[in-house]
Amino acid sequence: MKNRPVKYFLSLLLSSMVLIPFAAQAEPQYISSNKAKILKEPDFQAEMVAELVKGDQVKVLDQKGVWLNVSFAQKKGWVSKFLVKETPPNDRITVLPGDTETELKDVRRRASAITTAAAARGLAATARAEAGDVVVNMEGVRYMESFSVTSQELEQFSQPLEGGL
Amino acid sequence: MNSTWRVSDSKLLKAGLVVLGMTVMSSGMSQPEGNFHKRLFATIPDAPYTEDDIATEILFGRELASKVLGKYPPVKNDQLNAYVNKVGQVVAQMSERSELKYRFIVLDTDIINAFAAPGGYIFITKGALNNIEDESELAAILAHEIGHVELRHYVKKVKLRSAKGNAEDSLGAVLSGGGRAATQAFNEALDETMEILFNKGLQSKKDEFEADRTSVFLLANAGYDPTALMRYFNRIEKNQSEQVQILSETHPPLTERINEMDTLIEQNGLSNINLAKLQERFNEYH
Repeated sequence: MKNRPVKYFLSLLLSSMVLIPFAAQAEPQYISSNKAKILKEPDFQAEMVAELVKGDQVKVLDQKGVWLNVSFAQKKGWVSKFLVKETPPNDRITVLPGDTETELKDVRRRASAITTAAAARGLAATARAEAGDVVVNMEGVRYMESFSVTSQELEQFSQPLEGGL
Repeated sequence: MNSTWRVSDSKLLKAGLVVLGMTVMSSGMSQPEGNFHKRLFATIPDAPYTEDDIATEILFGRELASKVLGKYPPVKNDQLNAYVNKVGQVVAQMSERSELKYRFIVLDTDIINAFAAPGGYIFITKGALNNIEDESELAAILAHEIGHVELRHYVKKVKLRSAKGNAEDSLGAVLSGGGRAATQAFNEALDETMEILFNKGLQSKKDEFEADRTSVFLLANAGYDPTALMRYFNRIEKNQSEQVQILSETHPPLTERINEMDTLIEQNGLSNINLAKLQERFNEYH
């Protein structure tokens, strides 16, 4: 009878030795970049198996240097580890009024971000007024913010990058 | 029989604990991000950044951008700036901080440098552009600056958000209080970051090496030649002008950065990779 707890402990120990590494690896991870090529081999020039986008889930099966061997939708391939994170990526955040790219979906989060933005905007204006001799160029900032690239333009612009040169 | 079992159990128990320890260690090794030793001595990871932290970062970066552009105005060449934006966006697509909208502009100065403001405002000087030979080198410089934003080097330096995730001593906590203290703290942090950008530098070789490393992999993932930053550094290192001296005052010596990248590229089998350089397209716009 005395030995029973020890035996239970040992069997638990043995099971955990087998299960822990697999359990840790089986957790889904997420594509963190806007897009990520899944390649046939761990090599930047390898053939592409699929292209995943931000937020897509993958399971990490193995790692080789900076490459992760992943499975997704009954396929397997290699992806750069810099494009994969353990937590889901954030939605785009903006603090500029009228920015059509705002992607905050949740009303509570929207209210929170806008409150912060409004408070900090007032603060920034006060800070600017009190800055005195430091030159600020808000017109330049607006000029900088006037440039935007649509996803279609970006797709077209990226074409020559596919083949290398 | 019982006593034999007891002895065996005790030994088994000890052996089991040793094996468990080894299992935990080896499972650590098999995870992304390298070996157990590295994980053991790694700094404690940041607490998750909230959307308010990020909104504060963007607003701070925007104000900083207004000062950078106050010091050096933008080059008013829509075609060139649109091109630089496209190159920057190609690289930014591979950034892990997809919550940010990165913005790029050329500064009208002959100094050879590039700057990043928190929140995704990236600047490259006309002087730097004049020393670039192809599009991959432009992408590499922008990617280095994206690296500083991705890794929150300035955010941590001025405690926009405490490095240890300790909200009490962060600028964000002061700002949320409002009033004169907030205005003063905001102004001081802006001045400190301007000082870092133009005079002191980050004073951290580690931060600069990390941004170089980020550049190498952002480039490879985007399809650009990952050796581009190294090629650019090799070229400007030979340039003994005053402009290069200025760059060296805020960054580690170029030779050290070249050596670090050389090792990184070699170790990851990236030295003979044939990815895009796009010299002709760069010449069309520049």
